Amino acid sequence: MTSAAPRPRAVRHRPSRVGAHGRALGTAALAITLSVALAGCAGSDTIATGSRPSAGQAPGTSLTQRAALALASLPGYQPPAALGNGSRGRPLLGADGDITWTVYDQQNKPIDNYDPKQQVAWGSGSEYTEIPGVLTFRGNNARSAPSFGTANITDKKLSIAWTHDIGAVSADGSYFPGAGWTGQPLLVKWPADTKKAMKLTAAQVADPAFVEVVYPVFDGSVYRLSLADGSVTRPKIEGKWGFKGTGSIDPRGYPLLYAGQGLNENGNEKGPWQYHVFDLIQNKQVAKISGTDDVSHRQDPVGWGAFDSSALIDRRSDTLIEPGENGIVYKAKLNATFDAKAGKVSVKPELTKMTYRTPVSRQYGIESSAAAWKNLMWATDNDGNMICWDARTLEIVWARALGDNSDSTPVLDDSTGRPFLFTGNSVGWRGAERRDQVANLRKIDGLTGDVVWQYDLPAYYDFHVKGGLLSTPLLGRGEVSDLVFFNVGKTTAPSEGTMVALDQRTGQVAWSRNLEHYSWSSPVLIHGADGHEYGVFGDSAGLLHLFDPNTGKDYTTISLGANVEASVSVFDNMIVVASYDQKIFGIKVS
Amino acid sequence: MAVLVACVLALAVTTGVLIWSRGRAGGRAGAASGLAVLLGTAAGALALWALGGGTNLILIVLVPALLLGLAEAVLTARSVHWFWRLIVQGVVILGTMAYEWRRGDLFASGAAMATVVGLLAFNVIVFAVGAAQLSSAPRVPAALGLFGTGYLLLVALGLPNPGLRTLALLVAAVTVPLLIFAPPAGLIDRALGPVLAGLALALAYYAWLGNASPAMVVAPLLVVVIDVVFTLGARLATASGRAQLGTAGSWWRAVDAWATPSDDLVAQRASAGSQLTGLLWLAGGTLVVVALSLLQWWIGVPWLVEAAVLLVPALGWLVLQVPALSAGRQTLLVSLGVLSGVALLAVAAAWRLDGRLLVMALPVLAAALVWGVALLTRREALLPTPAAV
Repeated sequence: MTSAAPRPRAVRHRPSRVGAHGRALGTAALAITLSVALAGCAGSDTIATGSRPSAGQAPGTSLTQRAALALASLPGYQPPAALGNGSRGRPLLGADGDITWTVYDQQNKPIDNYDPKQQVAWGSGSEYTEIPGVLTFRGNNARSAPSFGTANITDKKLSIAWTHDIGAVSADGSYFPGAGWTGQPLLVKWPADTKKAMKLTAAQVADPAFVEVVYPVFDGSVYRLSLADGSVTRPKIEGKWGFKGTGSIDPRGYPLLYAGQGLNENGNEKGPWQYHVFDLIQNKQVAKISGTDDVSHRQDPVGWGAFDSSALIDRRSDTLIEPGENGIVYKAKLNATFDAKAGKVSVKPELTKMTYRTPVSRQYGIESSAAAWKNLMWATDNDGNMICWDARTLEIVWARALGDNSDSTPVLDDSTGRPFLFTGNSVGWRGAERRDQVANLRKIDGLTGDVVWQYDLPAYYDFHVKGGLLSTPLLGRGEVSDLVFFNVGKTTAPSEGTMVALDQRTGQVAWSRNLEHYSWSSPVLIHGADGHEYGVFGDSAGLLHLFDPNTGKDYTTISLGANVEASVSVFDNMIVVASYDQKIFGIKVS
Repeated sequence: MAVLVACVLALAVTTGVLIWSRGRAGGRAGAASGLAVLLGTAAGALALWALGGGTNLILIVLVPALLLGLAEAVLTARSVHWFWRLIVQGVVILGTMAYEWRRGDLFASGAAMATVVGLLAFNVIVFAVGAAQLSSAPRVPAALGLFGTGYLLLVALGLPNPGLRTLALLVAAVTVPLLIFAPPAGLIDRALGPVLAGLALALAYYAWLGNASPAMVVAPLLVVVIDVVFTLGARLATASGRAQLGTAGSWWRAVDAWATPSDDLVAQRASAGSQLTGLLWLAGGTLVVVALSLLQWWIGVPWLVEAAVLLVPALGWLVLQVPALSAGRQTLLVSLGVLSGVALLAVAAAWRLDGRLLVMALPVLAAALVWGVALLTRREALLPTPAAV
C-alpha cells in the first residue's frame, strides 16, 4: 500500500484574489440578509385559487329510495364466470387479469350459488338512521354526513368546553395515545325510553336535548359522556385491546354499539382479534366476530384480524356489513331485538363471508369503511382495489385497480340519481419501489367502475405514516355543493399536507391550500344558521381549524395539545374529538 | 411558469455577476463565481417564493445551504483553522436537521445520520472543487455538478416529487453560466467550493427526503468521493504523506493542512499526463456509476445492494487510475481481486436482501466490466509478455 500510494505534493495555502476582508464581510452581510428574508418566507399556509365552473350549482337534488337494483340492469353488466368450488370471477378494471371471489357460510363452507331471498339495501344517506346524530363513520351509508344539525355561528371562534382524560396503549411496536385514525366519536340523541332503559339519570332522560358521546378509543375502552358538559353518563366499558376505527350505533336506535378492534397487543400481552358488539344497557360486550378466520387470504405472516371499518346496518333487513382487515367482507344477520319497556336488547349474529383475490393482491385487507346505495356497496382495500358488490348475494359487480394502497373511505354522491364515488389512494408500494409517488384522487362511476376524472397530487412515501389520502373526502353542500374536499397528507414535505377543493363535476381545482402540518383527520362541514357552511379539520400538530370552505382560509384555530388524527363529529354547536394528548375534547363553535 | 421565471432570473443574476466581475478584473473573469452562484440562487429562491412556485422545504434547505457556503467562504478567506470551520459547518447542518426533526420530516436518528453524512459530503466537495481550481480545471466541478443535477432531475421526474424538480432546475440554472464564464487558470475562488457544496447538500437532502435512496443520491459524486477519501487516507497512511504534513510545523497546523486541497487527488494526477484522458476517465467512471444507479432504480434494488454494486465501478476507476495499483501485474491483480471480493459481498447482499437472479448478477457484471476495461487499458500489465522466440 505504501508503495502504491500517490505522492502527496506540497500542501500549501495559496493567496486568494477575492479581495479584502471588508469585501468578504460585505458579501456576508448581503447574503445573510437574503437568507433571513428567505427564512421569513417559510412556514405559512399558502392558498392557490383556481376556478369554480359550477359555483352555486349542486350536481342534483334527487333522493334515492331504498330498493334493490337488478344487477342485469346495470350498464355493461355481464354475469360472472363460475370457476367451481363456489368461486366466481370477472375481469378486473384497470389491470390485467381477473378478480375471483368465494362466498362462505359461518362454518367456512363455500356456498356455490348464494342467493338469499331477503333484500339488503339502503336509500339516500338522509334515510340511514331513525334517531338523530352521527351513528356511524361519516354519519350515513353515503359517508357524507359527519356532522348533524345546525350551528349558530357569529364570532367564528372555537373554545374548549370540556375535556375527559383517556389512556394509551403500546402495541405493534408503537405507542398509541388518545384516539387515532379514523376515530370519529359517535353522537346519539336517544329516545327517552331508550335513555331510561340504559339507566341514564332522570334529568338526562327528561332532557329532550340530551346527546350522548359514545367513543371507543386507543386504550381499548368505550367512553360514554354527555355532549353538553363531558360528564360521564355510564362508566366506561373497559377493554384491553385498542380501537382504531370508528364504531357504529344501531341505526334503529337500539342501544347496541358495534366496534372493531384495531390492535391485539397491550404492552407484553397479546389477545384475540375481535369485532365487538356491546349492549349499552348492560354496558358490556354481548357478541363478537373473530378476525382470525380460516378463510382469510391474509398472512402477515401470522394473520392480521383488525377491523378498522365502521359497519353499515340496513335496519329493515336487520343486516350488518363489515369489511375486515383480514380481507373478508362479513355479512351478519343480526337477529337483534330491543324491548325498551323491559330494558332488554339482544343480538345473535349469523355470518356469511366473502373473500376475493386480484392479480395485484398482496396484503388482502380492507381498512376503509364501505359506502352503500340501494343494494350496491363499495370499499377500497390495502391492495389498491375498489370493489363494488351486491349486498344481498355478495357478488362482486365490478372491481377496479386504483394503483396503490387505498385506506380512505369512498364518499358517495347520488344527487343526480346515479351513484358516483370520490376516492383516493396513498403512496404505499409505489413509494417503496421509489416510483410514482402521487396520490390519485378520483371520481368513479358507481355503476360501471369507470373513472370520471382523476387529479394527481405528489405525496411522500413513509413506511410508517403513509403519505397520500388517508382522510375521507368531504362532499360539499349548500354554498359549496359544487365542491368536494380532499385532505392529502405529506405532499410538499413529509410534515406538510395539502387540502384541495375540486369541482365535483370536472375535478378542476377551486382552491388548494398548502398545510404546514399534514392531516389524516377527515374534514367536516358545519351548517350555520346563517346559511353558510363552515369547515373543520384537525392536523398532526394538534390544531383544530375552523375554515371557510369557499376559500380555504382559516377563521380560527385552537390547539388540542397533540396530533388530531381522529375525525371530528359535530352536533349543532358542539364538536367532539380526541387527540394524541390523551383527552376527549368538547369544543364549542360560537 | 413561476419555476421558469425563477430559473431565468437565477440564470440572469449569476451570469450578470460573472460578467460584472470579468469587467472588474480588467477583461478577465474575476474570482466571483461563488458569489455569483450564491446571489443567483438567492434571487431564484425569492422569485419562487414570491410567485408561489416553491415549497417550504426548498427554502428550508436552501437558506442553510447558502449560509453554509457563505460561512465557509468567509472563514477560509480569513484562514480560520479547519477544526473551527468544521464546528461552524456542524452547527449549521445540525441546526437544519434539528429543525427538520422538529417539523416531523424525519426521525432523530435520521437527522443525526444526515448531519454526519452532510458534514462529510460538504468537506469532500469543497476539497474536490478546490483541487480542481488548483489544477486549472475550473469547469470540471460545474460540469460534474450539472451532470449530477440532471441525473437528480430525472429522479425527480420519476418519483415524482414536489419541489425536487424545481430545486434541481434552479441549481442547474445557476451552474450553467460557470461552464461559460469560468475564471482562468491561476484565479482561485474560495467561495465556489463551499457554495456548490451547499447546493449539492440541499439537492441531495431534498432527494433523499423525497425517497431517492442514499445510493441514488451519492451516485453522481461517488467516484469523486472515493478519490478524496483515498487521497486523504494516503496523506496519513504513507510515509511521504506524513512527512509532508510534518512540514506544517505542528500537529494543529498539520490537521489543517491535511484537509486542505492540493494537487494530489488521483484525478488531478491522472490529468497531469493528459488532461483530456483524465477527464474522460472521470466522466466515464461517473457515467457508469450513474447508469448503474438508474438501472437499479428501474428494476427496484434495495439501496444497500445498490450502494455495494455502485462501489465496484467506482473502485475500479480508482484501481485503474492509480499508477501504483495498475502498473505492476501483481498489484493490479491484487487490486482487482479485492474489487472482485467487494462484488462477491454485493452478490451475497443481493441474495440475502433481494434474491432475484438479475440483481445478484449485477455486481458480477460490474466487476466483469472493470476487468474488461483493465484488459483493454492495462493489457501489458495484466497479461504476461510472450516469450521471445
